[in-house]
Amino acid sequence: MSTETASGRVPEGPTGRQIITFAEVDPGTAMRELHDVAGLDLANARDVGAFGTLEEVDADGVYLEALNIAIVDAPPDRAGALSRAVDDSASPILAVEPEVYVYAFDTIEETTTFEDLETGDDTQDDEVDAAETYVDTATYAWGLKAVRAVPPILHTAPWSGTGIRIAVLDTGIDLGHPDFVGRVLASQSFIPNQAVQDGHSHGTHCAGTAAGIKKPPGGQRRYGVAHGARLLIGKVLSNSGSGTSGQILAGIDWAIRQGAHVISMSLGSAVAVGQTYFVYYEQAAVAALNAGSLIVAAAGNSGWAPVGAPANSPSVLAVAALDQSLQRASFSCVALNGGGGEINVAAPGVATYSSVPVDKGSYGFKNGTSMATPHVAGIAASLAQKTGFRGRALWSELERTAVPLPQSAQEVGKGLAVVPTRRMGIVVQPPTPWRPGPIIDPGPIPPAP
Amino acid sequence: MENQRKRRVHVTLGGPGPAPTTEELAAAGFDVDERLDAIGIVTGWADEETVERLRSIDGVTVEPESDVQLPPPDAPVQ
Repeated sequence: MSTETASGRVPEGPTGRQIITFAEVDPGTAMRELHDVAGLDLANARDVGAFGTLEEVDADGVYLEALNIAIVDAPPDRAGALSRAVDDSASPILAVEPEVYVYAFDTIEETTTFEDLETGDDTQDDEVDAAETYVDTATYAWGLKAVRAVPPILHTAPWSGTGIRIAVLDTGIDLGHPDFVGRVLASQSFIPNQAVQDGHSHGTHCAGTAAGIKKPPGGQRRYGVAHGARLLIGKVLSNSGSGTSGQILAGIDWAIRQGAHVISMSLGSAVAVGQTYFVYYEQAAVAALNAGSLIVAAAGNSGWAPVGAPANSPSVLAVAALDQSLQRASFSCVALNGGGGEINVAAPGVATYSSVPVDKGSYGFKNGTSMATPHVAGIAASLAQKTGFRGRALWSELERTAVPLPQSAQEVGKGLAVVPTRRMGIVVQPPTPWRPGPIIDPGPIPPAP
Repeated sequence: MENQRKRRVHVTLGGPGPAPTTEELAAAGFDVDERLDAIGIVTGWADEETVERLRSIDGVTVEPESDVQLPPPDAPVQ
């Protein structure tokens, strides 16, 4: 490799060092992990000083505590141990990648073509690591990481649903919750004698997941997918959680007239095997699509039972729930009926952290396909902003960009719905997987003379 | 008394021809609650004979209302 500066060429390609990215842990934990896993002893960059060298402090690398990143000079035999730690969910090590020389684009002739980078990246993007398990961190709810609203390393998620209106038809919202100040464009109650104010908590939770604020003022972790979108709140379920299809239809009608681009409905009623969809829900959904509103609805929580109504309408996008390992949650309904009873996409719906009314504690966890649905509503808003697509085109884009999962379409449809992300504009070579070298038989060893 | 025999139904106006007016539906005996123009659905109350009369109108589907019930706020699955 032509890395000699003496030859008049600037160095390029890998430097031989590894960059290790950690989950958010304190520097001591990260450095201890490196010592335990690979026997590497690091210096904290803060202690090395501006002119210090690694030789002077006798360390194998340096830890950058503000970034949760270590740069190490690991011998090849230890690099393998580091790579294996990436797959260990108990380890804070998230990624091990080779350090490369980086330049401004127009100062060096390119040796790696962009085609190479793109192909390598695409294959990586469309894989889901079956062994990966997501957990909440201090800064985000796990579902946001899974759907890439919190983007993967070296990616950004620049589309947060800005300019998009998400209607949440549910039990209303806590209009006094500080996280929703200025976020609700319009609200309307379809429940006689009940205000929009959420006396249940289901509606506030769903609205939070779809479009919760980026930085909750109380320092809570982020829980909203499309923090740039605005909310339309239709209260179609009472404070005790009950409603009728008439109230729901009135809510859909209102949401369309309010110009909703996405209508999120975490509600439904159970459907028997062989039962067909309601014509009224289907007609409402077709009218919505024609008006540029995409309806997403919860598949239902009856377990191995048909997708409920209205999610079983052919023109309503049905959402299944996934757990932290991206497996279908056991309660999530499955595609037992045809003619609209399919699952379209899946999203996180177990241990979902989001907002609840202030008088119920402001934040809390819930499980259900009800929680998966607003994830997809937020994703749809991001896609709508990025592509300009509405209605059926937006539906197709949601399904096209879904990441396939190991489970069947009957359980998870086209797979995990994800927010569109963009690669950061720096040249990084894909990590070389560690594998043992060839075993070369040297043949019989000649006897010593 | 009359209302006890009536149940709440949704009339979906999905035919190819011009949709019947609210007056035409009322003339068939349908107690109209609300006409939802954005989605082409009329909600209201009708007894069995009225439902049959409504069903004979071209491009009209009559279906009973269905109920939705969420579990309580602290239920394990919602």
